[in-house]
Amino acid sequence: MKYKILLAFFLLFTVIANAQLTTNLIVNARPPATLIKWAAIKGTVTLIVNNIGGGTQGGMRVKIKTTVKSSDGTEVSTTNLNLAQIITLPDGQTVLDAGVVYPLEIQQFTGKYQNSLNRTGKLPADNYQICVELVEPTTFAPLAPQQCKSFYVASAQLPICMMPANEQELDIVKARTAITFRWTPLVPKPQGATYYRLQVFEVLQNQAPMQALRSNQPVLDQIIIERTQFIWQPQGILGFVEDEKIDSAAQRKGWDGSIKGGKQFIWSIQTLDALQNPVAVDANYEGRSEPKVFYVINKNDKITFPPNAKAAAASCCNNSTWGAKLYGSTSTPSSTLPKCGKYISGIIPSTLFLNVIYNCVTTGCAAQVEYTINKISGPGGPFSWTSGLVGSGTTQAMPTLSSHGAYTLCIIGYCGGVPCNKCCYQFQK
Amino acid sequence: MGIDLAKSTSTYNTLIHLLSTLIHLPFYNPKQNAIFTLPIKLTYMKQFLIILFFIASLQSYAQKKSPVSITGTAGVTYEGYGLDRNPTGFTGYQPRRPWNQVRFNFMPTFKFGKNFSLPVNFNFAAFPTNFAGPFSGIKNQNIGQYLTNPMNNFGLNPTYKWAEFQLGTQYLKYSDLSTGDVGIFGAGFSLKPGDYRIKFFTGVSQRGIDYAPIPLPGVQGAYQRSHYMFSIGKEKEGNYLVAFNFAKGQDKISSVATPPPIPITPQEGFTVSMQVNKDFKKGWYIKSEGANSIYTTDENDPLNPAMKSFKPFIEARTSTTSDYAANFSFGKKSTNFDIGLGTKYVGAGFQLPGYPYMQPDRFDYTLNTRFNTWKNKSNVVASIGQRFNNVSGTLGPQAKQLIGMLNWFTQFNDKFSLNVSFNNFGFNTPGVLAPGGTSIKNVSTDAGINPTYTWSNSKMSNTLSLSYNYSNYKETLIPFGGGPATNSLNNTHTALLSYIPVYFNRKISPDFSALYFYNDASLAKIIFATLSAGLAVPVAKDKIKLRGQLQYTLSTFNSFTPENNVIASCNVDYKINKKLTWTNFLTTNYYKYGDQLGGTYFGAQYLESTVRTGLQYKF
Repeated sequence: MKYKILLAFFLLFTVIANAQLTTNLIVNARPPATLIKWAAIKGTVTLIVNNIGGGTQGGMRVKIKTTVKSSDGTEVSTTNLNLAQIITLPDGQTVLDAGVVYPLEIQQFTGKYQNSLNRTGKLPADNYQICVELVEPTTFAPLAPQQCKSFYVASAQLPICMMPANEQELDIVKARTAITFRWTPLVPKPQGATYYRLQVFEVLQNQAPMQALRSNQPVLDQIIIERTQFIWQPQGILGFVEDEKIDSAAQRKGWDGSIKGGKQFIWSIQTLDALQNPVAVDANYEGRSEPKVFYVINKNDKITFPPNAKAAAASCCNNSTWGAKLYGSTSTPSSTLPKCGKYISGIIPSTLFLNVIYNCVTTGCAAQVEYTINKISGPGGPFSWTSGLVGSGTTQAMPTLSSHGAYTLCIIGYCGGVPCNKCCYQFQK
Repeated sequence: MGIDLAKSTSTYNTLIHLLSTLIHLPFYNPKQNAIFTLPIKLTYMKQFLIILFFIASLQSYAQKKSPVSITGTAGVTYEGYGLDRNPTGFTGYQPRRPWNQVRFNFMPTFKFGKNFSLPVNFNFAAFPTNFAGPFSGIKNQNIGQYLTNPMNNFGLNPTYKWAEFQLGTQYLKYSDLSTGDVGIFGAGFSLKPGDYRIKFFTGVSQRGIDYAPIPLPGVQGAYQRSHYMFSIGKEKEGNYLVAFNFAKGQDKISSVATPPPIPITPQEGFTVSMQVNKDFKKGWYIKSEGANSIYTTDENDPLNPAMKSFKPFIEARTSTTSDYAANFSFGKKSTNFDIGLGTKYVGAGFQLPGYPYMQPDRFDYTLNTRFNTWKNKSNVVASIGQRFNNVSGTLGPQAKQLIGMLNWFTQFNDKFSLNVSFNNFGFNTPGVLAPGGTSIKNVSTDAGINPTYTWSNSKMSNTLSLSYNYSNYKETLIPFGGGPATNSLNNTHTALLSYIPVYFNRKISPDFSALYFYNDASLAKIIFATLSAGLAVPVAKDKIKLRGQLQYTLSTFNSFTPENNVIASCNVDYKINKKLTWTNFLTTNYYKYGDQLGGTYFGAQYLESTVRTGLQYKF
């Protein structure tokens, strides 16, 4: 009888306790897709608890059980109540945020959602329902009615820089007047305005493109609202591009592998929301799309004439031809070079000597040759060497190549100081 | 090669004299409305020049006494910028360069005997100008921040036979999916005994930067990021490569006194990748790499028992993701024919500490080809590819892109050539099934034709080139739940005529061009008409190269009155002696608006000038 009375009192107190707690759940209808950010961003999930019972010494002790379900009712996650923290609610109102209501480290995710979370930190894009209830810390018995709210998650896809395309070469004569930039829009399209901040950085001599982006003042810093195209007038930024050599890792090379003059730029889009804060879905929280590089070159660069075409049909060049092209590892080279454009195999460039004859038929046009070596790829940084004009048939020692990699050797035949023919080879060191 | 001591002294004096002149050049700063001289202490310059002098002397000594050789360059460049805007208070045009900047480069390569070399790569600037990335906004740097600021390079690569030691700033790219494209200040090595490849490097890509909201625009702050990378493999150049790459990056929480505010968090990542490349006979090749990254976006988060850690390299936390990426390409390369297929997959959770802007969650493929035909007079380069974003399905709608490109060049004879190009990209996403979930479809099409005709006589050749481009860009938005679509249409026509005479017996090189640009958009019509002329001429027995360019552009926007733009640029390069060149560049840009700005700023104008002068010494 004594136990029955005690049990009756216990049930009575439980009912009273239930009546003491009221809850109100507020959920952002479009919370961040990355679940770990919920705790960091205010207003994602807010639970307001009102403990109106009073009289409980030191406050009421509860645990929070949170369940997330997909739109078809499948359970996505639920709180592991054994690990859940005990929360003591004082009399009156207590406001709890996502860090307390939905601590990620004690949520148990089911199958594919656990995989998605491990791989991406996000839930698959969908409509979901989140339900929260307060439970008794030991028996897990409900202490207040469950509260549920719906939300939709879909992470944003930052724009992709489309035009100028990566490593595209623009002709300076056109680029001086206008360069058109295009990019894809932010997806999904938000209900508020989207601001696109277009930034263009000049890659200076001896700089890598990413170095320029992270260190230079942009030559264009323009905010474009909603549109995904901008026409830029560079107005004097380009200068004399043919004078500039690009020494960075991404050297600009001609058809023959030779390094040509040109200015290099790197551009990117930073996406800003309606309040002009970055759409921080990337690891850096900058909202910056993957940058792209483009070049501005002089397409009339006179050295870019195609193989075997006569340079400007100059009279001195008429009927000029290659003679013997010899190479070897001694100062009297004897091996014959292969046909232009072929691969030279088996040579050791560190002891290479060349002797090329160029024949100029027109009277009064002196025959000369020029040798250039450029490194195309390989460790140890760029390498470029030019012999300057030397007499046809003169033995020329090549420079020592200190690093391994792929190289080009180009020989230009001159008549009367005018370049007439070009012959290039590739080789490995 | 090399200079003797007397000449070195003379060179040094010349340098000092030129720099003294340069440093005391008056320059107008419209921001301060005052004339000023370059705020660089001469003694600082002197120290730099003393090093040059020392190197030059060493070079001279090296030439005569021992098998030491020095090649490379060194120099100093000053750049000044001015912007004068009228009327007062007009801010419609913002400065585009730092008001003053001094850049130094010191890049000699010392060679001691046959087997030992010491390449030096010092490039650094006097004033920070960072706008993007962790250093943005920083004004006063401590020495650690100065050394790791991406605008400065301090690198040494002593090399003995197959052993290279990497000291100071290094940009190390072991592979596309492992290390990164940011500079790291530290130490390491690259060993190549026989066919074996062993690499290691450790260093810091950024020092801790305290959060400082004022003075505006403030400094966001950053944690110190350390990197460790290791690679082991076997390679026979032109034959095969097999390598395993390991890269770790970690932010140091205690590196800042005032931590950056949320959302910037201390991060940590670890990546393993495997590369297999193989070159076959007749130009066939295969390149492949697969990688797994484990990345934590906040080191303060609690440990995650539900996820497997990779101790001792990284422990899984609640913000840790583990995902994969892969590259694969194969094809054939030859003199007259290339063909290749390249694919790339980057998982949604794949992140690398060294590639800060890599966009994840995508799969793309590209088929490209190049071939010469018609007795090698015709060259065709073409590619077509597709890209799929949101492979993971976490980003709402899947977006698809189609990218196609064709360039066809034909040299019909010595006089006539024709280039035809076509580019297309399309972007399509169905939107999300929620209010505001707009479907988007963008299509961009560009077509161009460029005939060039060259004729010549015994004195000169003439090149006349005509180019016409048509560009169409259409964006279509279809609201969620149907309703009328919104179309934005851009049509652009560009026509260019250029004429370049080349004199065989005279040293002047002029060029002329006229360009017409017309853009017809939904609410905007833009016209640019540009005339430009250039002239290059060597003087003083070819010791001085002069080059000038003058450009005038008339532009109109809708029905507003025309706007005028005049740009004048010149280059003066003076070869003081065989080793030393004094380079100068000056450009001035005058722009006058029409009535587009209205009100107070009716007829606003600005004058923008840049002057760059520097000395370059060639060892």
